[in-house]
Amino acid sequence: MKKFVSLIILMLFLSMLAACGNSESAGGKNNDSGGSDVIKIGAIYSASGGGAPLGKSQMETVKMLVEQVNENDGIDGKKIELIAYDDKSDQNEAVLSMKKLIEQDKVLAVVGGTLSGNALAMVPLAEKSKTPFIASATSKQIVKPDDNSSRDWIFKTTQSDDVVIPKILAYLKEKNLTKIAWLNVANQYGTSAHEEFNRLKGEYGIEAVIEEEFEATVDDAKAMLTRVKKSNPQAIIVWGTAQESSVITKNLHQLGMKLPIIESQGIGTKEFIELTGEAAEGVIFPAGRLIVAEQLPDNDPQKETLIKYKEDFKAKFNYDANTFGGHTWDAFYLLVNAIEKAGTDKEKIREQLENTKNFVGISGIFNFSKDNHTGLDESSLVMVQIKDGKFVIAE
Amino acid sequence: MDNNLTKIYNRSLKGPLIFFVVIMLLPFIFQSNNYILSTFIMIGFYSLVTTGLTLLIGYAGQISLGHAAFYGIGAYTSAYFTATLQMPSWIGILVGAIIASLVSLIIGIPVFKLKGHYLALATLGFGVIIFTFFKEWKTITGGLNGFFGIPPLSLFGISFSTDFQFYFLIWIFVFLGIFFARNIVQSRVGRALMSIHGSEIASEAIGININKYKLQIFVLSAVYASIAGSLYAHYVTFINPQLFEMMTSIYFLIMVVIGGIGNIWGGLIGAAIYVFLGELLKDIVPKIIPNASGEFEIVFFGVLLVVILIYMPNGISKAIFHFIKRITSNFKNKPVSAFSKKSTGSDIHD
Amino acid sequence: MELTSQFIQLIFSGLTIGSIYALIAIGFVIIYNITGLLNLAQGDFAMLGALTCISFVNMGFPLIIAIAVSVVIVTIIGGLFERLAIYPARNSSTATLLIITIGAAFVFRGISILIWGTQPLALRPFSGNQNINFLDATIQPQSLWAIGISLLSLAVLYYFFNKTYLGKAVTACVVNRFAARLMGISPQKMSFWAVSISAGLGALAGIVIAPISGASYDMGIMIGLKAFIAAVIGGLSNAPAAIAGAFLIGILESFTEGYLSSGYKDAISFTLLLIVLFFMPNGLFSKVSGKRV
Repeated sequence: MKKFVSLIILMLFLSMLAACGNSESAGGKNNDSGGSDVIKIGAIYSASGGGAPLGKSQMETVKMLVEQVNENDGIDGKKIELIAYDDKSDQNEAVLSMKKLIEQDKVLAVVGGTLSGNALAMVPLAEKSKTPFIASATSKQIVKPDDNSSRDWIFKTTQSDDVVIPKILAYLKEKNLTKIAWLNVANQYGTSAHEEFNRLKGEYGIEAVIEEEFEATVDDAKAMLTRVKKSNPQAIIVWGTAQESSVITKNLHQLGMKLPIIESQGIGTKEFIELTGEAAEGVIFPAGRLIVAEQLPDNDPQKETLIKYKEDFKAKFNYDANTFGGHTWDAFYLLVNAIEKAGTDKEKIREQLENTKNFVGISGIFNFSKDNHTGLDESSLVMVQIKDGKFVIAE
Repeated sequence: MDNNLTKIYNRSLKGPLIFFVVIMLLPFIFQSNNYILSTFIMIGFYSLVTTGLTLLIGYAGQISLGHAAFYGIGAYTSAYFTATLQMPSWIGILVGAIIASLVSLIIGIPVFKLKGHYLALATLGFGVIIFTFFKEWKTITGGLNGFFGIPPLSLFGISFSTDFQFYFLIWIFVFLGIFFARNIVQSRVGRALMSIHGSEIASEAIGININKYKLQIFVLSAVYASIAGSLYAHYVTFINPQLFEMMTSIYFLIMVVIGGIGNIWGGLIGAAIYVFLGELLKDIVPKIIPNASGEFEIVFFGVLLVVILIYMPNGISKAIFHFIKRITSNFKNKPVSAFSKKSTGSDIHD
Repeated sequence: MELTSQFIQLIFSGLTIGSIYALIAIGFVIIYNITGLLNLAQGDFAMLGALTCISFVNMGFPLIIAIAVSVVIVTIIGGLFERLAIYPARNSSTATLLIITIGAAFVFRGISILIWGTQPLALRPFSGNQNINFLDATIQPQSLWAIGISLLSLAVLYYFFNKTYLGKAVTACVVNRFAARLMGISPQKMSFWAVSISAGLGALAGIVIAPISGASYDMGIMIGLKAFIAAVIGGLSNAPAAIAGAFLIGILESFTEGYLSSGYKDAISFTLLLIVLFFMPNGLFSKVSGKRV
């Protein structure tokens, strides 16, 4: 008993010492956290918890890429030291990890933010400490906040909802589908898209005949879908990630609703097709070119990069790469690119990022500017359709 | 239950005072390291909640599996009153506490007539219902998109916007909270609670109104949580419903169990151990198993919870105090009194 | 969509969801009645069963074998759980044991993530995908499996507890532990078997559910809770009541979703729980009680 207690007390002191020890050894000035021969980069992704379906491949991508770069002599001969934390999809963890990276590990820049909520919580810390932060979450508030607070140091490698939604709306308008049923998953991913949809639908002459939410843990939504069926839409938008969208899609199929179904880029994974089975046939969604990389014409500027990433990832981790990991690829290489060109000064890196043009990435071709820290527009997306259990480029 | 009256009433303030001074001095050592300050600040928030919860579980013998709801009520009320209604911070905190008391009263009156496990389930239910309100009441809470732009806390003319300042604020609150809890334990209410804990039937026989005392402590624990939540909202400036879901309530419970339920310091100790262990795991686990991530923490805390409940149901704080007592009594060369040698401790009763 | 066909569709949905809860609730009630333990890890037995079965199927085993093996494995896990976590704490209060089961549930989930990751996995439906149409409403054949198996389990349990020696011994244990021991029946062995068998039942439930809603490490949480609610509503004292409670919740949730909004679905179930707890703590069907299981 006594030994047990002593052990506990010892552990407590050890952890405090560990914390102290870290802060002393990290030393160095903020501007040159490259130390002498190492470049420290921080990463925070949700590799466990609710965001894991997105974050796990992100975490693995960044680790794989760091290895690859270091095998090729790092950046200008300096190796990259990656300090990666799993925020477990918890906002408090994200904030603590961010503080640790900035204050204690003294990283040069941070890539991260799987979930919009966590990314948003990390943003003020990056701004205050003047550390470049490249996020992989989708909310446009990350770079263009409603309250117009400053976002000089924040960048994003995902298409915002205000790029994806117009793509869908344009597609619907083109196909003359104006009475739409909108369904979104009950979390930030779903609700922020919903907001965008409502904001823009008028411009495309689209009318929402019914708007519903479904839980991320839904087992069977046929009850809710009966109301959708009643409202007589011409097409249905289902906005969620693979697991819950799959249930909705299956239910729609079971209810015999043979309407065009448009979903979000969140379903662009093989799991979705496996889970949904034949109900997935015909589903259309906007996506980066990654999942249809092989079908691209050879002169497509992204094709080579996409295929290399896909092959490397599959070889190393034994499952298919997905768009989320792709966003991380972009964040990482944008950063590496900036460091190569501008050195290890935070302000110079920030400037370089802001002036990056025509950068060929996984999610698209990036063109940043002072007002545009996302760098992607509608051309980075293609409409993809599920045909015979595979992803094909839609007509 | 503890029959060691000397231990309760003659406990000197020396120990706690030294502890207080140490805590207050720490930030000066870690001044430039916001990460360490933040860690301690989070421990502070949790301690405030768990101290109230410890009073409820340890002294009043009731279980709440939904305390995150009160934490959330404090947070959202403060957020709403300061950001949306532009009122001063103290109003937000006060109204939050009032709402939390009302809600806990409404819940408490029917619930305390139930026994043990039914009670736990009822509090779980309320936790989910209140969480649903946070999610659905979009105009006030912002729903799942979260609530942005909560202004920094402003009390007594000071605006608490840095970690350094906030540290002092929260820890003063924590110590006030523990001090207040201590007074309750030593008061008439506390004695009534001990009696209830020992035997409800006997207590009723001597005229103690059981439900009234249980209710009082329940409301008090809700207020503790609510105040913590209000301060938390001002600290993080961005909140969303997922911070206050069922898992959070269970984590609070884990902290209380780890810390020890018969002891007013139990809440703080449990919160500290929980946070430190978490950070320690974050550092150690990747070195042993390179591809691991947060899942190990879940397993670890699950195992820890089970082990503690089986082998150390009184939690760790009692053990620590025994240890300290043994050391200090060796120093003083005083014979350890027969009264204080054995302590039966308290545990969760039906 | 016509009013009547929506109504029928909602009933079908409700029965589907309800059968999911019912299967878990059975195991729950068994454990409670035999050991007095409230097992919040019951939903996670379902999760383990489902994922294990999927693994075996993916390895190439025929479905029947995969199901059988998975159920056996989870039964063993249940037994281990009882010996390691419940038995040592058998003299603690109900509340302590409740929290222990919560801790165990965490462990199950964590191990599940380590083995299967966080992505949801699929299991193909037992009898194919052709939906059955009835008056313009559809029901999945898998739902019929779920309903069928829960009723079948019910029948088997009834037979077991009322017609076999072992079953009666178990009932005796519940009614009077001390007397049972005097008669040579060991409560500890009963506890062990009760938990193990319930784990197996839970696993079966998970396997039946998986084709409907997919399987992942966190599928057990809400399902376990709702089953808990169903059992309490039914009165915790007998399985048929729990099953009725489960279908009741399922239909209630379905109608809330169908006529109101899905966001309130969980709140409705818990509100019903609170109403029952406050006004009829012995459950809605408690007139039947006296005899357990």
